[in-house]
Amino acid sequence: MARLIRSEKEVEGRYEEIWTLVEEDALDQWPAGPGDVVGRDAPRLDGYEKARGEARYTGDIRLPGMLHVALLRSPFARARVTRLDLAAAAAAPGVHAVVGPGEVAGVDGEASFEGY
Amino acid sequence: MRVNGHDHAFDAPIGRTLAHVLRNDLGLTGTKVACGEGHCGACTVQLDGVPVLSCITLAHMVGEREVTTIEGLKEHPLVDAFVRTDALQCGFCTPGQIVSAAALVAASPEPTPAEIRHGMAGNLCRCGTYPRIEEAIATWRG
Repeated sequence: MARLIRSEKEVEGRYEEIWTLVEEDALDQWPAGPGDVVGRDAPRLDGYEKARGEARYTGDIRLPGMLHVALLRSPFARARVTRLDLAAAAAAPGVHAVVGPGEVAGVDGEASFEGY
Repeated sequence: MRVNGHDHAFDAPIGRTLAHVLRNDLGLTGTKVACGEGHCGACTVQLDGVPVLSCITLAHMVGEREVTTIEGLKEHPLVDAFVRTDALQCGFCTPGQIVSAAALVAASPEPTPAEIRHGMAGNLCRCGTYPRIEEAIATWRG
């Protein structure tokens, strides 16, 4: 005997009802399980670590010789870069490298926001 | 500087923030810096029991005051309460939340919902666990 199965789909608050016709034979019986996992609360494994401030986030990691990157972004919402003078930045104390568009593989200097 | 009951000596230039000293000079990385400009409360620590934003507090302004960070509150019942009520997801704001909450319950051991919301207004949670944070603090003694 065929069965009609109702599913409800929600995308950002919009509900959609979907009815599917399924032949009885097409459905495998759900295997009997321990029944003590699905549908039950589980304690968060790293709850104490995080609440005590012991969890290590990326910003908490320090490696020997680690350098830090600072990004300089345009102060203008839409503009064309005509010239970059990185000399002063390179001469600043503690600076190991200044990386502009010319030094990064795959970046041709033209800003691209495809996919955003 | 007196932090969590221990005295620390270090050199810091004028203008270094308390958060920087705690995290970088003393290695107390439980204090988090998220916005770095005093909006979010992740960097909250206590100075003589009063919550302050360590990312906009200069180290040389601390003076003789006792600094309490999350590392000094690890055994506080609020830690259990936050875990029990699952009042965290990513957990990045949680140390700051607990430092603020500890000051709140010290001043008002049975805070009303209004007191909790007022006392915790300076701590943002991007995971949106506010209802559970409120529950954790309301039931902090277990």
